[in-house]
Amino acid sequence: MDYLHTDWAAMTGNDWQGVFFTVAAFVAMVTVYVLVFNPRNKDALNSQSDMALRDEVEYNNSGDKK
Amino acid sequence: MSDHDKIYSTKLQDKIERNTLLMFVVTAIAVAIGGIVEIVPLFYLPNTAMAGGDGTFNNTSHKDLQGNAIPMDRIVWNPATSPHKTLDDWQPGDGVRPYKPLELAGRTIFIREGCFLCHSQMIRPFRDEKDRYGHYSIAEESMYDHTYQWGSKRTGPDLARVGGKYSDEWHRRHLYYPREVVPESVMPNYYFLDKKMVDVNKTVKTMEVMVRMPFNPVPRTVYSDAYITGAKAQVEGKTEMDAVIAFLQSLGNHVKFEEGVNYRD
Amino acid sequence: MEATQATPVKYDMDVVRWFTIMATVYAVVGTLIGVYVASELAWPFLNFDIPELTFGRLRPLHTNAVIFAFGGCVLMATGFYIVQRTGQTRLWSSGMAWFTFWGWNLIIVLAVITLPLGLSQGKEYAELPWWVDIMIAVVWLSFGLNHIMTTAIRKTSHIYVSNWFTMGMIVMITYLHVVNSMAIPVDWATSFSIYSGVQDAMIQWWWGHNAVGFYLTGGFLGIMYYFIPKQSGRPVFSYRLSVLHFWTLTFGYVWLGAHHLQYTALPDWTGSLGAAISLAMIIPSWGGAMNGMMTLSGAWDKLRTDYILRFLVTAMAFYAMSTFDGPVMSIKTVNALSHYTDWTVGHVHAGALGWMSMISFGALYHMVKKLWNTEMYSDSLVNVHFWVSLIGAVIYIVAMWVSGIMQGLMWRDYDEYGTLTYTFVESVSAMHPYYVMRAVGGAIFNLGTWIMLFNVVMTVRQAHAVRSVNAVAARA
Repeated sequence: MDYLHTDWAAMTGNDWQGVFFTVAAFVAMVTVYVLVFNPRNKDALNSQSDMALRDEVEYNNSGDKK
Repeated sequence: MSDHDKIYSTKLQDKIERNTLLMFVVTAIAVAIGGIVEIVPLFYLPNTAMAGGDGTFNNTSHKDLQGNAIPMDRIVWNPATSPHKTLDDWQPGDGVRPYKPLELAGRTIFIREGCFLCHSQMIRPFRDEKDRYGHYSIAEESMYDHTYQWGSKRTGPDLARVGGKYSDEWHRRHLYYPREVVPESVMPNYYFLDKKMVDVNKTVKTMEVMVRMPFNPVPRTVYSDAYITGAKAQVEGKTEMDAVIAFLQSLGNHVKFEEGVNYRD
Repeated sequence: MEATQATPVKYDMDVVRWFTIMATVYAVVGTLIGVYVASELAWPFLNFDIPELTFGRLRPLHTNAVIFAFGGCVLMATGFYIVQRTGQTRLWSSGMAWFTFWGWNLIIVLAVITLPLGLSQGKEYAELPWWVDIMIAVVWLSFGLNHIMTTAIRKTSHIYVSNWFTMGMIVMITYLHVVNSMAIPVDWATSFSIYSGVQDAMIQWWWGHNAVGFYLTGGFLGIMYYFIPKQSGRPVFSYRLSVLHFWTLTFGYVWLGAHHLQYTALPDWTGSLGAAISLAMIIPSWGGAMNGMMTLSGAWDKLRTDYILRFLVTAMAFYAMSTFDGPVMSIKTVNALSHYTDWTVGHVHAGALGWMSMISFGALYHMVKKLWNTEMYSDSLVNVHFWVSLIGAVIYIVAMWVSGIMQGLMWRDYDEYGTLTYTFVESVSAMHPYYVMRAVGGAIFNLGTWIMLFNVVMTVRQAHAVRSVNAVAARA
């Protein structure tokens, strides 16, 4: 328990600044995870997954007109 | 209309994927944050050794075993308060000082030859490193090192405190043909350094550059115009070998460390 | 789909062809210099008492040749290739693309001249002299502007994931290069960083690690997200995973540089922060690696016959391995052992040989077939190249892991009297067998690049021969 003890009174402005950035970074990352893995967003996020394959149809291999 | 043309205009990600400018801006912001958070504070936080040798410190302080602050002038040499007023009078233990002209020339050659690729100059606070190399390095010790030379690899030993460990003659023989002195060494022979004279003008120009640095310049009180003019005489007729040896011998004995004091906080 | 069937685009592929060929050439050159410097550490007589050949001067040439010559040409070839095809549009400026090509190759030639002459700025991976740095900035921006503008004029509704990664790389490398290269010149050969000590160290490793993170990883992930789907004929396994992969990497990788400076004079919080985020990066990195591999799900049998796919998938395995190895090494207790040792060299080469080179080789073979509209001169040589690369890389990495851990343990070992067991030089001589092994592994890997060069040259010749026969037939 001693290990987790924090002397809050001794926190300087720089320390709080660091805490803020760490927490903000953590929250931002969690938000991204939640948004990406939310099943409701699945279709939207996956809609372009075959984009790389779509460029093959109309052109021959070197990009010249067929 | 097929699936992939469906518009999800309400979704931020979809908007970004459709808009080059938006993606550029969001990316440019996202990649900037980490660097700003980690780098900018180093220019103002205490104990990162910004400024110094002219008596100004960014609240850097170390405490001795009784909890009293150690005057920074004992860590970083300040000619205004030190009994030794010039670089030539400076004694080991007086505190971190800028390089003398010949050492500075040697350092330039050290960088040119890529010595830092195999020799670090940063001792970590471990028992074995203390026994092998000496007291751990502190931020002040490299404060004048424009283009820092901490290194990242020890194919050869650390050099942060190599000064005074070996004689000049040992260094000369070792740099000439390392394997004559240390048979297992894999270091290249640097005998060619003895064939070339130190570039006097370049050394003077280097000193002029060092006082003009925007961050941690060498104080004018140390590299005065008169001192820079006088530098020529100190490097004239010296070989690059002399310069590198002078540089190596200058490393690591600047600060007098007290046993048990924590210099890292 | 309907919209895209209107008027077919004629892509600008000439410049891509040349970047592809130069990448193949630089793969040979870069790894050859690598083998030479590795051999110098095993047999120091190879320095031959010639200043220009000493390890200290050639090692930067090796790193610059593989990162900027080989890696750069691969990134620019694939970047221009992907952005045109996924955007179904020509390059924004063909002339500027040629400027990029000649500029970049000129810089490489200047590196080959200046680095052996000892014109080093003394910063790892940023050794090139200040005036070359200015040229790099100009040429890099010409690449970046052209790429981003081509994205802007695309005919498709969305920007493909590969182009996000390339854009991230363009922005970040610009930041890094400009900030890290700030120096005051003394003369044309020498300049000194405007930062010193702690600040310079942090900025150097912010540069050093993110050159890895955004150039050697981000840029090559762009390659992965295009060429694995193309080569396997399957859409990306999970596009939303790639959204996560991109944003977390883009935001997170930037923080990692500080883990190169654990236990140094840098404030402790910086290294700890670097290590914490490094560990957090395992998840998106592995997500990305899995995404690449699972793109093959249902088509695993293709690995038996498709040698190009083998390269691409093996690269993902090495990517997963390196992105696990790296965070582990950033943990303070591990770093205390691994820092300053060959373990770092092993880690870098797991990335460079296993991940970056393998994905490049796969992409290059794929592009050669498409760009010259032909089959490879020899498919079995592609297979030989694959196995030679794999064996060479594994020998190299294993040698460096063993020697690195051994070095670390020897340095900190104490005998029963409480004194250090080994002198430093005993650790040097103990490394000899591993340095030999490393040189051998590297040489095997280098052999593979010669095979690829031969195969590519023969393929291009064959394609031209076929084309001229057809042309004659058409005229007759």
